[in-house]
Amino acid sequence: MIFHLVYFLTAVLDAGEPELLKRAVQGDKEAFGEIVARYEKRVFRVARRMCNCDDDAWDITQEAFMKAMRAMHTFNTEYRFFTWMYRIVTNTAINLTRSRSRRAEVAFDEGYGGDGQTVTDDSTIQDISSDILVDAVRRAVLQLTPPLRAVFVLRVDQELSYEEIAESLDIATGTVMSRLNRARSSVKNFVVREVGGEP
Amino acid sequence: MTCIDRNSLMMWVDGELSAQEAGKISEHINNCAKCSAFIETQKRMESLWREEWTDPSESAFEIMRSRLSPELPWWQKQRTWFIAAAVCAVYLGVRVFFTGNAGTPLSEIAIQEELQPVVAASDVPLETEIEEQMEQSVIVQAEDTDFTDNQSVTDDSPAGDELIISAQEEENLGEVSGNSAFSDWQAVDLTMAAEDYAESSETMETDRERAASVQDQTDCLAGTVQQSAGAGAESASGGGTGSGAGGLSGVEYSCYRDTAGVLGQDSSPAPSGEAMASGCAYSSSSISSGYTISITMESTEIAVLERSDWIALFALTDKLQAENFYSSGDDVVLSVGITGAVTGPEEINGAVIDIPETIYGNSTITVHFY
Repeated sequence: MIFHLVYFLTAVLDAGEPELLKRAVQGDKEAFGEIVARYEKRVFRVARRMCNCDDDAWDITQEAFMKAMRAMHTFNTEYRFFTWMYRIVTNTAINLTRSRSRRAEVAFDEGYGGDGQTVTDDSTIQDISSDILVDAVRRAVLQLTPPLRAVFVLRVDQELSYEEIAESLDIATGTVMSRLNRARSSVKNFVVREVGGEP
Repeated sequence: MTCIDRNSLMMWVDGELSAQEAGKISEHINNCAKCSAFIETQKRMESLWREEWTDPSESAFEIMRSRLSPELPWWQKQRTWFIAAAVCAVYLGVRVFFTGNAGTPLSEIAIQEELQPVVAASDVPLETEIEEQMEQSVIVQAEDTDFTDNQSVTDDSPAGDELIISAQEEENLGEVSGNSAFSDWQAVDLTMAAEDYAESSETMETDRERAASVQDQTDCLAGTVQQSAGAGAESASGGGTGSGAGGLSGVEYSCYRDTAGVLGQDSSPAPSGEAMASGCAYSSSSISSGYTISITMESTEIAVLERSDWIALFALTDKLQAENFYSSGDDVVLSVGITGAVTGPEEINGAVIDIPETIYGNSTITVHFY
């Protein structure tokens, strides 16, 4: 019985998103609060992936929602809200990351491109334990430049399509493809170097 | 065989190729170990990184929401609590609507429902237990100058069997006594032998300790409480009638099990513990009036009482309170019931003992002697 009540309440609370967005655009703070509750986990996750720091991630999340709230009246409800929100949070993260860290970003390697040549030893990575591998990937992602990292995060972590990524970052789909290719190449080469293989 | 470029392979992995292009690549991958290994490696790296994630606690998000804007509604800042409160409110509303009862603790209802089949199926074990307990003796010690030597017990239970209660004066160690004196009646010592509690369940351990510690605290409504020194232990035996001298000493008492009692459905004599608990010792035809003892459990917990434990309730002498007097002519009628939130008054007349197996915190046990 409790389950049904929870289900019922959840259904009631989960009012249609288009209606919520319309209300939020009109300045309804309750509606915007509901939107925040729906998207906060995803926004935080993107922020955390972008900066790899909890405190920064919370700052980015909060600032992103504040920006969204201030700009809500400009949002066109015919577009997808999540891509709009992703754009805000990735831009916020990129700006914050760049302002806090001016370290030299590792130049990405054109590890694999259109020539069909691979420069990594796949068997090397396959033999690595999961713990070591995931740690290496985590550090490799942080070595990416923020624009590459944003594409990598939205594709690999959020599993957005190329089109959605392009819409989120306001770039062309071809740019998404090239950045993603470079990001993946860079990550893989970094991992191979870290685990002792020859890139 | 020429390998496919990595960009195309990753687009295939991402599902960004047309069906025709994807089909070609799939065919190639099935026949190319190198490309297949590349894809597997990339998938492994990315899936490990993606799955290495734990969401922060809900409270962290609530803090973020509270900082986000003070203008956000409170229920959105405290979303978790709001939903929990809403669920509780709806549940109570539905409960009141369908049952009209929101005051009874849910646990009581649940246990009452659970008890029904248990009680119905308890015939054989009860009989066995009763037979075993009949071998036990009960110390009933009372001091009542108005008791007559010849006291009879009226058996209003047609199917009841006798229970012979014997009391031993020398076995007073660990007794818990409460002496109630009433304006138009007698002072009664209710003495309970601690040894009868020895095998009680652990759930009653606290009650026993409390009872032992409050022997002097009994304060009855209509009189004072005097601690019994143990004089007048009687040996109750025989059925229907008995005799006693010096209070209850030497008086024979009988007690019967209700054939339709909560734990009954048998006509076996009540165990000694029950006899004491129900106050059979006071069931005397010479008593022209009765009284009610109410015992209120302060604990809100549920205590499941074995029959031998039930007597321990009466050890809560600090909670004994005479509430009423009854006159029932020459017949002495004993009833034990529960009032309050459990089952409501269940008075069973005719030297019948209705022993509740389960009692709940904040319940009132009412014992009528009349």
